[in-house]
Amino acid sequence: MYCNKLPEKPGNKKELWQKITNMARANSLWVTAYGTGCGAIELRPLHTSRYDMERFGIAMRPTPRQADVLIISGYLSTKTLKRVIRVYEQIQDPKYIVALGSCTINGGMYFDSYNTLNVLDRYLPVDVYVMGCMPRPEAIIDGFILLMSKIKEGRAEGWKHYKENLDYYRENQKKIITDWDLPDYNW
Amino acid sequence: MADDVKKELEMRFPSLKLVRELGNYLHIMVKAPYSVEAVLMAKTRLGYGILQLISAVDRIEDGVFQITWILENYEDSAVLLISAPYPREKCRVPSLSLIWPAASAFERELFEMYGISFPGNPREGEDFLLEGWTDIPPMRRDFDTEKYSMEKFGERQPREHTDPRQYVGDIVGEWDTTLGRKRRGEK
Amino acid sequence: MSVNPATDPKKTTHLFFGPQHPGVTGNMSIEMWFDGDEITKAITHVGYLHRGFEKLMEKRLWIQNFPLVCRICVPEPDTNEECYALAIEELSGIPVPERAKWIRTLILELARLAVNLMAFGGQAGTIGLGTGAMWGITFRDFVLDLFEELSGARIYHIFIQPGGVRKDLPPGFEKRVLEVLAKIGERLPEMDRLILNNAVFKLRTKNVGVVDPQWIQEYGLVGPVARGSGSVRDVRKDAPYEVYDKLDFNVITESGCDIYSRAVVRRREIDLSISLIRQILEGIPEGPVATQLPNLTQWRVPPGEYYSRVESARGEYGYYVVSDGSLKPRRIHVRGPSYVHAVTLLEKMLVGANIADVSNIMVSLTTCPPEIER
Repeated sequence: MYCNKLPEKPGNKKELWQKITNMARANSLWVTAYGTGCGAIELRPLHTSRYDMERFGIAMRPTPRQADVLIISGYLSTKTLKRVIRVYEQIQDPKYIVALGSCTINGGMYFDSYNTLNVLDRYLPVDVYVMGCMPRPEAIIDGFILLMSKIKEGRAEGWKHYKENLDYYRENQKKIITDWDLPDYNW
Repeated sequence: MADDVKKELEMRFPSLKLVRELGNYLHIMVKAPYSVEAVLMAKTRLGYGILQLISAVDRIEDGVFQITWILENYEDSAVLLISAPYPREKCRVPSLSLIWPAASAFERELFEMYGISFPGNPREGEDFLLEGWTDIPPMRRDFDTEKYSMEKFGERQPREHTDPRQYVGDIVGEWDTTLGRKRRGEK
Repeated sequence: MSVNPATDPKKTTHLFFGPQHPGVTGNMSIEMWFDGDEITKAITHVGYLHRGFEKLMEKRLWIQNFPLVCRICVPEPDTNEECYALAIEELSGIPVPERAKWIRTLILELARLAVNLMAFGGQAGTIGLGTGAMWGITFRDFVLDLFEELSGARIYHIFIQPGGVRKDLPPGFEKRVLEVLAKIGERLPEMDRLILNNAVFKLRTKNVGVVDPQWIQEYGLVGPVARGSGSVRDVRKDAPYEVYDKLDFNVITESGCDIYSRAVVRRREIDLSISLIRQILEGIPEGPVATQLPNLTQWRVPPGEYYSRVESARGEYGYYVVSDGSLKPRRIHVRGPSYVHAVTLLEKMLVGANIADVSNIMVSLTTCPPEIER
């Protein structure tokens, strides 16, 4: 049912073509609608006309197959991490992750909890961190502008890093998820 | 109001102890074999028909779990708490899920968090909050959550702490951190 | 061996209404079996947001728990702080000055107004009327601006402390509150016309998601879910705390037990909150805003147990606090109203419903997963 072939290493394209595609990708980032934690409450004002995010080309899509960006809004428990990995691997390349809050950097205020992760970068490749607890809608838009400038310069390579070092990420993920029943690569 | 309820309960259970009484709020402690009978008597004869919560406190120094049933009377807006100590090893408490269907959710959670078994609960043993948990029940007092978190999720980079003495030490000189307490007369 | 007809694999399809879904309130999932379009069995799965709060609270000082306690309920954090502070004040006997009680009530009513605006608009959003959802969130932003001026943050205020509030109201605050109330008040009739007088809304919400009045006693339902089915239960009237015994209001109840009447209850509670805030602003006395607490790093609460109750926009919140006389709490058990609504009641109500109504029913019960699993 799943394709068990491991991912192919991505190749390089011509530079001018790369620049055009980067600009096109940066100006129309679509976000998967998944509220993983506390920070999801400040994603709703972004739709309204006060902090309009559609003027940057950002829209919310219900399915990961039609999206580019996954927003991890806050802490992650191990039960959610299993579902997030599945959603992340279903997003088509190229894909980016924006992490909100200090719980993703080094555990935040739940650093000694038995159910939340400490460092998100060990399990999924993060491109942009946004500060705040929780970040204001203006701060989230600021994070998206940083992501757009990174894409235009060609520095947002989290998805390539994930494909090339899949063994490292898988080993970390399997260490904390004890009942692993996902296929080796799910795309 | 609470006086009448207290008198009736004292007539039936002469060994009960009063924990707190305040207007319409009453908290009593009975012995373990009489606890379910007290709860059912409160429901049928004294009008406390709603079960709000089943809670447990781990009294590890006495070797017991103190189970508390919190009942409410909607017509007179009164609250009744009934507590009973149960032994800590192989704890078994009769289940009330046939009378109140919501009790099965409370009992499932206590089974997962403390290891208290409620025979008679139709959904006992199903995963409620944790998934793939293999250690001892986490809410017990002898479970160290910080150590578990450091072992499972790995080291995190904490903030750097600087000693103010290296910046203002030569201006202020030596100071005594217990000076405030000495001035107030505490130890 | 006979097969359970509700989950017979030859007749029913088995699907997850999973955590990644725009129609789920928060991060929880429902495992459903359905036959055609009608659901035969449903099981809710919670635990995606479990952080182990109660274990963390036992390792921190009494005053360090306030930032943790706020984060239990994300849309309305002030009721959690209030409930925790009430329990501590009862156990340790700290008196609260009069002005602080009035300011606390003002904060609670503003928070209730914000949540009800979002919930009332969100009910329209699940049916497909996106405009209603957008308006609800926009009006809530006006109230969050007031909170930002008062306490410095939009969502987590940490303003209520045992013994009073953190600091006094800024000068000119009452005038700005009245301006915001006037601004919201002149746009509410438009929202009414859009949502409640809408033929499609009525078709989709009348006689759908019916809560039988007998279930109130059996399951212990609270809040607008019970008041939409005729119950007259409100902790603000039955066991008044702070200054609710000095304010003049009636408990709001409706008697059609479906989604429409719950939406009407929430709309009328918006009006009630606005009128209560106006009464509070007229009656605030002068005075100190907090009693002086002892050294907070050495503060011990006397031993005892207490169960405090507060009415939030979703229902009755309960905090069972146990103290054994040391620097850290012994046990704190939080009981949110969604515990019964989302786990037991939802499984019962979904049997026989259409798939398209699952999201409507969940939003009308305003289930909030962080309160279930803390």
